[in-house]
Amino acid sequence: MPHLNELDEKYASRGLSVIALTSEGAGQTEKWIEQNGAKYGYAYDKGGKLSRELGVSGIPNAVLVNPAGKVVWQGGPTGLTDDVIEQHLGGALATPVFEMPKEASAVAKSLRARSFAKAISAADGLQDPSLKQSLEAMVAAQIEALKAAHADGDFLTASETAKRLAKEMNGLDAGVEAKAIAAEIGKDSAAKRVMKGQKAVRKLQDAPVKQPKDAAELIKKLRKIESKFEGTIAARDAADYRGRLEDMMRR
Amino acid sequence: MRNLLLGIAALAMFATPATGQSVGKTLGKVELDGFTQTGARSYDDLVGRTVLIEFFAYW
Repeated sequence: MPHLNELDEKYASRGLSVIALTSEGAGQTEKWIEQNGAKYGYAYDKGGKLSRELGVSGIPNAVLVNPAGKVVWQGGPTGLTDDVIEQHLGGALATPVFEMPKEASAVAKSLRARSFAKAISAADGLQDPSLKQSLEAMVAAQIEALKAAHADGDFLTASETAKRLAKEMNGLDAGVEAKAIAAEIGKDSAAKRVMKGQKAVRKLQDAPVKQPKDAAELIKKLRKIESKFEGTIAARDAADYRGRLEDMMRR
Repeated sequence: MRNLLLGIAALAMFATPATGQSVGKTLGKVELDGFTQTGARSYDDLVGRTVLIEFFAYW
Protein backbone atom coordinates (compact mmCIF):
# COMPACT_ATOMS: atom_id res chain seq x y z
CA MET A 1 0.00 0.00 0.00
CA PRO A 2 2.59 2.60 -1.09
CA HIS A 3 -0.22 5.13 -1.64
CA LEU A 4 -0.72 5.30 2.14
CA ASN A 5 2.90 6.42 2.63
CA GLU A 6 2.24 9.21 0.12
CA LEU A 7 -1.06 10.28 1.71
CA ASP A 8 0.44 10.20 5.19
CA GLU A 9 3.33 12.38 4.11
CA LYS A 10 1.16 14.77 2.11
CA TYR A 11 -1.70 15.36 4.55
CA ALA A 12 -0.47 14.64 8.11
CA SER A 13 0.33 18.31 8.76
CA ARG A 14 -3.09 19.32 7.42
CA GLY A 15 -5.04 17.09 9.81
CA LEU A 16 -5.07 13.57 8.34
CA SER A 17 -4.07 10.51 10.34
CA VAL A 18 -3.57 7.29 8.40
CA ILE A 19 -4.06 4.02 10.20
CA ALA A 20 -4.00 0.59 8.59
CA LEU A 21 -5.94 -2.14 10.38
CA THR A 22 -5.73 -5.89 10.20
CA SER A 23 -7.40 -8.77 11.99
CA GLU A 24 -4.43 -11.04 11.28
CA GLY A 25 -1.63 -11.98 13.70
CA ALA A 26 1.35 -9.77 14.48
CA GLY A 27 4.10 -12.11 13.21
CA GLN A 28 3.12 -12.21 9.53
CA THR A 29 1.79 -8.65 9.61
CA GLU A 30 5.05 -7.14 10.87
CA LYS A 31 6.98 -9.09 8.24
CA TRP A 32 4.63 -7.77 5.54
CA ILE A 33 4.90 -4.16 6.80
CA GLU A 34 8.68 -4.36 6.69
CA GLN A 35 8.83 -6.04 3.27
CA ASN A 36 6.46 -3.46 1.77
CA GLY A 37 8.18 -0.41 3.24
CA ALA A 38 5.02 0.76 5.02
CA LYS A 39 5.86 3.79 7.15
CA TYR A 40 2.33 4.69 8.31
CA GLY A 41 0.77 3.65 11.59
CA TYR A 42 -1.03 0.36 11.92
CA ALA A 43 -3.00 -1.47 14.58
CA TYR A 44 -4.96 -4.65 15.17
CA ASP A 45 -8.74 -4.96 14.90
CA LYS A 46 -8.90 -8.18 16.90
CA GLY A 47 -11.79 -10.39 15.91
CA GLY A 48 -12.68 -7.89 13.16
CA LYS A 49 -15.07 -5.93 15.41
CA LEU A 50 -14.63 -2.55 13.71
CA SER A 51 -14.48 -4.19 10.29
CA ARG A 52 -17.92 -5.75 10.93
CA GLU A 53 -19.31 -2.49 12.30
CA LEU A 54 -18.28 -0.76 9.07
CA GLY A 55 -19.66 -3.51 6.83
CA VAL A 56 -16.27 -4.41 5.37
CA SER A 57 -16.63 -7.69 3.52
CA GLY A 58 -13.57 -7.51 1.26
CA ILE A 59 -10.08 -6.09 1.58
CA PRO A 60 -8.42 -3.75 1.00
CA ASN A 61 -11.16 -1.33 2.00
CA ALA A 62 -10.67 2.34 2.85
CA VAL A 63 -12.83 4.37 5.22
CA LEU A 64 -12.50 8.12 5.67
CA VAL A 65 -13.76 9.51 8.99
CA ASN A 66 -14.15 13.25 9.54
CA PRO A 67 -13.08 15.07 12.73
CA ALA A 68 -16.59 14.64 14.14
CA GLY A 69 -16.21 10.83 13.89
CA LYS A 70 -18.57 10.45 10.95
CA VAL A 71 -17.81 8.11 8.05
CA VAL A 72 -17.73 10.35 4.97
CA TRP A 73 -16.33 7.97 2.35
CA GLN A 74 -15.84 4.23 1.97
CA GLY A 75 -14.69 2.03 -0.86
CA GLY A 76 -11.74 0.52 -2.67
CA PRO A 77 -8.56 2.49 -1.84
CA THR A 78 -7.92 3.40 -5.48
CA GLY A 79 -11.24 5.27 -5.59
CA LEU A 80 -10.22 7.67 -2.82
CA THR A 81 -8.99 10.82 -4.52
CA ASP A 82 -7.10 13.80 -3.14
CA ASP A 83 -10.21 15.91 -3.77
CA VAL A 84 -12.28 13.75 -1.43
CA ILE A 85 -9.63 13.91 1.31
CA GLU A 86 -9.24 17.67 0.96
CA GLN A 87 -13.02 18.16 1.20
CA HIS A 88 -12.95 16.61 4.67
CA LEU A 89 -9.91 18.24 6.25
CA GLY A 90 -11.89 21.30 7.37
CA GLY A 91 -11.75 21.71 11.14
CA ALA A 92 -9.22 18.90 11.59
CA LEU A 93 -6.51 19.46 14.20
CA ALA A 94 -3.18 20.05 12.50
CA THR A 95 -1.36 18.43 15.42
CA PRO A 96 -2.62 15.14 16.88
CA VAL A 97 -2.85 14.98 20.68
CA PHE A 98 0.13 12.61 20.91
CA GLU A 99 2.38 15.14 19.17
CA MET A 100 1.35 18.18 21.17
CA PRO A 101 4.19 19.85 23.08
CA LYS A 102 4.69 19.19 26.79
CA GLU A 103 3.29 22.60 27.72
CA ALA A 104 0.02 21.61 26.00
CA SER A 105 -0.38 18.37 28.01
CA ALA A 106 -3.51 19.74 29.74
CA VAL A 107 -5.03 20.44 26.30
CA ALA A 108 -4.24 16.90 25.14
CA LYS A 109 -5.71 15.40 28.32
CA SER A 110 -8.96 17.36 27.94
CA LEU A 111 -9.21 16.45 24.27
CA ARG A 112 -8.78 12.75 25.04
CA ALA A 113 -11.62 13.15 27.57
CA ARG A 114 -13.58 14.97 24.86
CA SER A 115 -14.02 18.03 27.02
CA PHE A 116 -13.59 20.75 24.43
CA ALA A 117 -14.32 23.70 26.74
CA LYS A 118 -11.53 22.61 29.10
CA ALA A 119 -9.20 22.03 26.13
CA ILE A 120 -9.80 25.56 24.80
CA SER A 121 -9.41 27.05 28.24
CA ALA A 122 -6.08 25.21 28.71
CA ALA A 123 -4.93 26.33 25.24
CA ASP A 124 -5.76 29.92 26.17
CA GLY A 125 -2.81 29.99 28.54
CA LEU A 126 -0.28 28.95 25.91
CA GLN A 127 2.13 31.41 24.38
CA ASP A 128 1.48 30.10 20.87
CA PRO A 129 -2.14 30.99 19.95
CA SER A 130 -2.31 28.53 17.04
CA LEU A 131 -3.54 25.56 19.08
CA LYS A 132 -6.42 27.55 20.55
CA GLN A 133 -7.33 28.80 17.06
CA SER A 134 -7.19 25.25 15.73
CA LEU A 135 -9.48 24.00 18.53
CA GLU A 136 -11.95 26.82 17.93
CA ALA A 137 -11.97 26.05 14.23
CA MET A 138 -12.65 22.36 15.00
CA VAL A 139 -15.57 23.24 17.28
CA ALA A 140 -16.98 25.68 14.72
CA ALA A 141 -16.71 23.10 11.91
CA GLN A 142 -18.53 20.48 13.98
CA ILE A 143 -21.36 22.87 14.85
CA GLU A 144 -21.64 23.94 11.20
CA ALA A 145 -21.85 20.27 10.17
CA LEU A 146 -24.58 19.73 12.77
CA LYS A 147 -26.57 22.74 11.52
CA ALA A 148 -26.18 21.55 7.92
CA ALA A 149 -27.48 18.07 8.82
CA HIS A 150 -30.46 19.63 10.60
CA ALA A 151 -31.19 21.98 7.71
CA ASP A 152 -30.95 19.06 5.21
CA GLY A 153 -33.57 17.13 7.17
CA ASP A 154 -31.00 14.51 8.23
CA PHE A 155 -32.64 14.41 11.64
CA LEU A 156 -31.08 11.16 12.84
CA THR A 157 -27.53 12.40 12.31
CA ALA A 158 -28.47 15.82 13.68
CA SER A 159 -30.13 14.39 16.77
CA GLU A 160 -27.29 11.98 17.60
CA THR A 161 -24.62 14.61 16.90
CA ALA A 162 -26.42 17.35 18.82
CA LYS A 163 -26.71 15.18 21.94
CA ARG A 164 -23.02 14.22 21.76
CA LEU A 165 -21.80 17.77 21.08
CA ALA A 166 -23.99 19.22 23.85
CA LYS A 167 -22.00 17.04 26.23
CA GLU A 168 -18.56 17.46 24.65
CA MET A 169 -18.97 21.22 24.20
CA ASN A 170 -20.61 21.88 27.56
CA GLY A 171 -19.43 25.29 28.75
CA LEU A 172 -19.08 26.73 25.23
CA ASP A 173 -21.62 28.70 23.19
CA ALA A 174 -21.43 25.84 20.69
CA GLY A 175 -22.64 23.45 23.41
CA VAL A 176 -25.67 25.66 24.01
CA GLU A 177 -26.44 25.65 20.27
CA ALA A 178 -26.12 21.86 20.13
CA LYS A 179 -28.43 21.45 23.12
CA ALA A 180 -31.01 23.74 21.50
CA ILE A 181 -30.96 21.72 18.27
CA ALA A 182 -31.34 18.44 20.21
CA ALA A 183 -34.34 19.92 22.06
CA GLU A 184 -35.91 21.25 18.85
CA ILE A 185 -35.69 17.85 17.14
CA GLY A 186 -37.08 16.18 20.26
CA LYS A 187 -40.22 18.31 19.99
CA ASP A 188 -40.65 17.94 16.22
CA SER A 189 -43.07 15.11 15.39
CA ALA A 190 -42.28 15.24 11.65
CA ALA A 191 -38.56 14.90 12.43
CA LYS A 192 -39.30 11.93 14.68
CA ARG A 193 -41.17 10.22 11.86
CA VAL A 194 -38.24 10.75 9.46
CA MET A 195 -35.83 9.36 12.07
CA LYS A 196 -37.98 6.23 12.28
CA GLY A 197 -37.46 5.74 8.53
CA GLN A 198 -33.73 6.47 8.79
CA LYS A 199 -33.38 3.89 11.58
CA ALA A 200 -35.17 1.33 9.42
CA VAL A 201 -32.70 1.98 6.56
CA ARG A 202 -29.75 1.75 8.94
CA LYS A 203 -31.02 -1.60 10.20
CA LEU A 204 -31.16 -2.91 6.63
CA GLN A 205 -27.66 -1.56 5.94
CA ASP A 206 -26.39 -3.59 8.88
CA ALA A 207 -28.02 -6.80 7.64
CA PRO A 208 -25.57 -9.29 6.10
CA VAL A 209 -25.62 -9.69 2.30
CA LYS A 210 -24.13 -13.09 1.62
CA GLN A 211 -26.16 -14.27 -1.35
CA PRO A 212 -28.13 -12.67 -4.21
CA LYS A 213 -31.41 -13.58 -2.50
CA ASP A 214 -30.36 -11.50 0.56
CA ALA A 215 -29.84 -8.47 -1.69
CA ALA A 216 -33.17 -9.07 -3.46
CA GLU A 217 -34.99 -9.21 -0.13
CA LEU A 218 -33.33 -5.98 1.05
CA ILE A 219 -34.20 -4.22 -2.22
CA LYS A 220 -37.86 -5.09 -1.70
CA LYS A 221 -37.83 -3.69 1.85
CA LEU A 222 -35.96 -0.55 0.75
CA ARG A 223 -38.57 0.14 -1.93
CA LYS A 224 -41.27 0.05 0.76
CA ILE A 225 -39.34 2.61 2.84
CA GLU A 226 -38.87 4.81 -0.24
CA SER A 227 -42.60 4.82 -0.80
CA LYS A 228 -43.62 5.29 2.85
CA PHE A 229 -41.15 8.13 3.51
CA GLU A 230 -41.27 9.77 0.09
CA GLY A 231 -39.70 13.23 -0.08
CA THR A 232 -37.57 12.73 3.03
CA ILE A 233 -33.94 11.85 3.63
CA ALA A 234 -35.05 8.37 4.76
CA ALA A 235 -36.36 7.73 1.22
CA ARG A 236 -33.13 9.14 -0.25
CA ASP A 237 -30.98 6.92 1.98
CA ALA A 238 -33.11 3.91 1.07
CA ALA A 239 -32.81 4.71 -2.65
CA ASP A 240 -29.01 5.17 -2.36
CA TYR A 241 -28.55 1.83 -0.68
CA ARG A 242 -30.96 0.12 -3.07
CA GLY A 243 -28.92 1.54 -5.97
CA ARG A 244 -25.70 0.10 -4.57
CA LEU A 245 -27.32 -3.30 -4.06
CA GLU A 246 -28.68 -3.25 -7.61
CA ASP A 247 -25.20 -2.39 -8.94
CA MET A 248 -23.83 -5.34 -7.00
CA MET A 249 -26.51 -7.62 -8.50
CA ARG A 250 -25.65 -6.44 -12.03
CA ARG A 251 -21.88 -7.02 -11.61
CA MET B 1 -19.36 -27.53 -13.71
CA ARG B 2 -21.04 -24.45 -15.19
CA ASN B 3 -23.26 -24.13 -12.11
CA LEU B 4 -20.23 -24.44 -9.86
CA LEU B 5 -18.44 -21.64 -11.73
CA LEU B 6 -21.55 -19.46 -11.60
CA GLY B 7 -21.82 -20.14 -7.87
CA ILE B 8 -18.19 -19.13 -7.33
CA ALA B 9 -18.73 -15.96 -9.39
CA ALA B 10 -21.82 -15.07 -7.35
CA LEU B 11 -19.95 -15.57 -4.07
CA ALA B 12 -17.05 -13.44 -5.33
CA MET B 13 -19.49 -10.69 -6.34
CA PHE B 14 -21.09 -10.62 -2.91
CA ALA B 15 -17.71 -10.67 -1.17
CA THR B 16 -16.95 -7.31 -2.82
CA PRO B 17 -17.50 -4.45 -0.38
CA ALA B 18 -20.48 -2.29 -1.18
CA THR B 19 -18.98 1.15 -1.70
CA GLY B 20 -20.11 3.56 0.93
CA GLN B 21 -21.97 1.02 3.02
CA SER B 22 -21.24 2.82 6.29
CA VAL B 23 -21.17 6.40 4.97
CA GLY B 24 -23.13 8.62 7.35
CA LYS B 25 -22.50 6.42 10.38
CA THR B 26 -20.82 7.98 13.39
CA LEU B 27 -18.25 5.75 15.02
CA GLY B 28 -18.89 4.83 18.62
CA LYS B 29 -16.17 3.61 20.95
CA VAL B 30 -13.42 2.12 18.79
CA GLU B 31 -11.25 -0.51 20.45
CA LEU B 32 -8.00 -1.40 18.68
CA ASP B 33 -4.76 -2.97 19.91
CA GLY B 34 -1.08 -2.84 19.19
CA PHE B 35 -0.66 0.62 17.65
CA THR B 36 2.70 0.60 15.86
CA GLN B 37 4.71 3.20 13.90
CA THR B 38 2.54 5.96 15.37
CA GLY B 39 2.49 7.97 18.59
CA ALA B 40 -1.19 7.06 19.01
CA ARG B 41 -1.85 4.41 21.64
CA SER B 42 -5.60 4.20 21.17
CA TYR B 43 -8.20 5.46 18.71
CA ASP B 44 -9.05 8.22 21.24
CA ASP B 45 -5.63 9.71 20.44
CA LEU B 46 -6.95 10.56 16.96
CA VAL B 47 -9.60 12.92 18.38
CA GLY B 48 -10.18 15.96 16.17
CA ARG B 49 -8.30 14.46 13.21
CA THR B 50 -9.65 13.31 9.87
CA VAL B 51 -8.80 9.60 9.88
CA LEU B 52 -8.12 7.36 6.92
CA ILE B 53 -8.57 3.76 7.97
CA GLU B 54 -7.44 1.10 5.55
CA PHE B 55 -8.31 -2.52 6.25
CA PHE B 56 -5.63 -4.86 4.96
CA ALA B 57 -4.17 -8.34 5.34
CA TYR B 58 -0.65 -9.61 4.77
CA TRP B 59 -1.73 -12.24 2.25
